[in-house]
Amino acid sequence: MSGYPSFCTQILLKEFEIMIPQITIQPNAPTLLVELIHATHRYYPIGFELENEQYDGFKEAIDIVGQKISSLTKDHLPVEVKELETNIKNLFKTLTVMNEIHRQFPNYAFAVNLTEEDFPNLSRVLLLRIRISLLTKHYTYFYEEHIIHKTSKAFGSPVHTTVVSSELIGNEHDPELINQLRTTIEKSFPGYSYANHELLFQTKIEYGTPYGEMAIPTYKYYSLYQFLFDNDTFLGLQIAK
Amino acid sequence: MKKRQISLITLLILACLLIFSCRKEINSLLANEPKVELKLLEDSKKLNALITAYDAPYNRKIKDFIRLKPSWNEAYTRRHIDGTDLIVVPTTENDISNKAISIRRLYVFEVLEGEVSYGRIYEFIGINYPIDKNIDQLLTNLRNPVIEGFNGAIIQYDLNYRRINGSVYENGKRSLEDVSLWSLTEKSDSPQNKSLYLKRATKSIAGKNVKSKLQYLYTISTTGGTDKTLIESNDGGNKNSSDNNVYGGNPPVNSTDATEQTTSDGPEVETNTAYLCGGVYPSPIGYSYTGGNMNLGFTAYITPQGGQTITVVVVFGVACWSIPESSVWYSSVAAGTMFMQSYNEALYEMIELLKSRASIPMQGLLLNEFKGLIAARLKANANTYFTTFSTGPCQGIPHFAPKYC
Repeated sequence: MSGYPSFCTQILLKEFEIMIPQITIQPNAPTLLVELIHATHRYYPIGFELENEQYDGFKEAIDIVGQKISSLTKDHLPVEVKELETNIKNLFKTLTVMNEIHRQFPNYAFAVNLTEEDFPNLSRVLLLRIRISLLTKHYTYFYEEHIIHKTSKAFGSPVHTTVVSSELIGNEHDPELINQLRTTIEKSFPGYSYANHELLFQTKIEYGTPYGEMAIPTYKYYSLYQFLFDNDTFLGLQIAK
Repeated sequence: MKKRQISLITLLILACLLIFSCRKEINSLLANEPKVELKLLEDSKKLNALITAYDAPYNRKIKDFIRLKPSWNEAYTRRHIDGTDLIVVPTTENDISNKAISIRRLYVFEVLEGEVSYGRIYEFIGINYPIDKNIDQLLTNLRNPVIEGFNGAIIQYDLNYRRINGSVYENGKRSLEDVSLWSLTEKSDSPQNKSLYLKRATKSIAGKNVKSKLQYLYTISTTGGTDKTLIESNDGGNKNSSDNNVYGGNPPVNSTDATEQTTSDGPEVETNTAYLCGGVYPSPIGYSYTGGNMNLGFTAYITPQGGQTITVVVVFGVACWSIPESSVWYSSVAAGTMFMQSYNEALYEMIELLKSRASIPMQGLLLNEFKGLIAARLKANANTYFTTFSTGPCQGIPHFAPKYC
């Protein structure tokens, strides 16, 4: 069975052409996805038999990281970044806010330590990660929940699972605080818009290697998040809503 | 009249003496060497001091450890053909009994974006090729696989004078890698007579390291004549034996002696482990210590029961990692130690993983597994979720070759 109409069917279809309804389909406004994929193509040689370093766009990405690290070591970070750090700290007054700008990736990164709990058999840590891409005018944030199963070991290390989500059930999630976070980011970075973590983690791109990753011919898929937002290693990753 | 003549002769002798004693300075003025910018020279000194100090506790325990002394006041600059500025600093040299051989030993610091980022010691060995006449050509083509007319070898060492790599050039083309200098007591000779050879280390099918002699260079003089003034021993005093000034570098980490006394015939077999012992020098960036390494990893030779040996290469060409400063009590040394500990634990886990498998997965999967294990150990040891380990280059900091035990 082929998906194409047979010769006879084609003749029949031609005969009754008028009777066949015609519809026009426009993809359901995937502007965000299109923009993100466009940015990925701009900075990475997706689908080309090229090393990242041979691609002009990737050289730009290297320069962006170089400038970020240089401005960090010389304490010349842009005003809006310093302002954003202060505003995030003000927003999460009682919590520890980590500045992760040193990360070797074209992004500005922060994290908030929301909860740390220790039980006899497992420990749980809940973080709020904030990532502002320097390759596209988008930012994302998500909850990152680490569960360490102390009694189950694999090759000497306790089993570790990580769940990423943008909605939490219970009193750890304050929608108003999150709304304020979005306003704060968009105030410091005008023109930036939010990209949902699920879209970023679930959308896989073939035949390309993200920044900070080694090109491995047999390893074909990386997520949009890894190409545009960060190159962190997640242990036992589960993606939730 | 006679008095006047005597005074004139005395003055003439004094002038000659003055010229003779200042000949070095006059030569350097005439040579018109480009001066080294003071800041860059100071930064080179700092980098050298940092790296030698970092390994000092370990090096002090090594018998006859060679600590070369750079002659900073003779430093000069050259530019590599790729545009990198080089700061070149001479150091002590040996007398060579074989006229066909010439050797120069130099410190070379590289300047990237106005910062001294990298330091190495190089030994240039010329075989029927006058190194002194061609040293500029060799420096400006340091990393090139083609150096016109060059016959000989370039051996590269870290600032603790431990070998990193070495290449042989024949008729201007790089022909062999993994080459080093080997000082060897011939079976028939007295223990005092050692010869220096170029040697190459290769792997046998069984995965053993096999050394083979490539070229005799010269017999090391044990009766003085070597310039010992620029060399220091590990205990701070000058060495009396000229053996300590021999080219070829310090022993690899955990080896007992740099020189090997062995028979001259037949392959030499040695074994190594892949655990990390040094070459890890993180820099403070923001609220973290970030470290860059090149060629981090291992080659494993796995022989399943009743099967043939399989070679598995798990090497990251470059790796970049970071540890938040709060996790390591604000110390670069502590961050380096934590990384080494994490890497070694991950390696142990990786070996256990490989032992436990009935079949060996593809290289890409192994690299990814090893990366995951290192990242996990780093997070666990630093007790934080803010450590990073990526397999791309770091920006803004130098990358170092790791030292394996």
